[in-house]
Amino acid sequence: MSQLRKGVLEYCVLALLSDRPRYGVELLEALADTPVMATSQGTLYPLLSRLRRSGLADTYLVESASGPSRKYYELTDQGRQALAEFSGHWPGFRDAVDRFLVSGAES
Amino acid sequence: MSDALTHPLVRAYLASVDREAAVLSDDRRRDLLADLREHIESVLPQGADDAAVQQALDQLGTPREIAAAAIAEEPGVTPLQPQSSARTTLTLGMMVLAAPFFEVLGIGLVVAVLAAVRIWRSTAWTRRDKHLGILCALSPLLVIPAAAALFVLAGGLGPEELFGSFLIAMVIPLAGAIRLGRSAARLRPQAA
Repeated sequence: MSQLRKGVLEYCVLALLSDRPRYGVELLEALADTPVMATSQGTLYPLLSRLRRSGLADTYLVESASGPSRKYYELTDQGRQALAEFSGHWPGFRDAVDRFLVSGAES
Repeated sequence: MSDALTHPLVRAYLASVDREAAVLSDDRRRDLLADLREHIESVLPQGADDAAVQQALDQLGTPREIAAAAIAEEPGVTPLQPQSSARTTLTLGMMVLAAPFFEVLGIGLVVAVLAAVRIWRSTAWTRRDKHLGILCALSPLLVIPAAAALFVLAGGLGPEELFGSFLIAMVIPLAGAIRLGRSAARLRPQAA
């Protein structure tokens, strides 16, 4: 399960960023609402760092009145494109897995 | 900087992440620690008590888990693998004991080079530790002649002074062996 989660988690993060930029803790809170996607919080940061380095997301700092400055992540065009591509493949992929699981259970 | 980052539990935690992520490049490790610091500062209120700090760190995950995730994101970086303590002891023993035999028929040189090769091929040390270890293992090559030359200048090089030079030449390999021994011991599971 953890390999599967790891594979799709980055697209869930890209999807969360598609409506607006978010900072790390905000992303973690959004993921925590869906227990199946929840991981140890700290492991999200290496993933975010890779998204930035591979050009799928950009970061910028925003000073916060109450605490430390926050690093916001926003999607780049390349990130939008990767998300669109994944969104295109995903229904076929999900249906195919479902078909195998259902026919496997029936036979 | 808020006081959350100066809390002893937080400092120990971040130091532990830094150690576990030692195979990563300095840049990557700095980024990771900066992200974790920002996280800790944003989730912990000023003056949080020990229980709250511990809870925040538990939710963050173990240092080993986070370091493993960061290492997995780096193509070409393989995590350090522990090696048996017997193997480490042999390597480091060779490194230290080579010095007294250095100029006796070249045995010491051969042993020191073997120790250097064992350090280089081991999976238990970071590149930085390996460079340090190899420099320390080969340091008698310079230290013995230098110490002997000093004795000559000071008034004569007898058998005792020569023996003294060999002993002096053990100091650097010994210091290196202690450091490498500690990093190797930290990798072993019971030290986790």
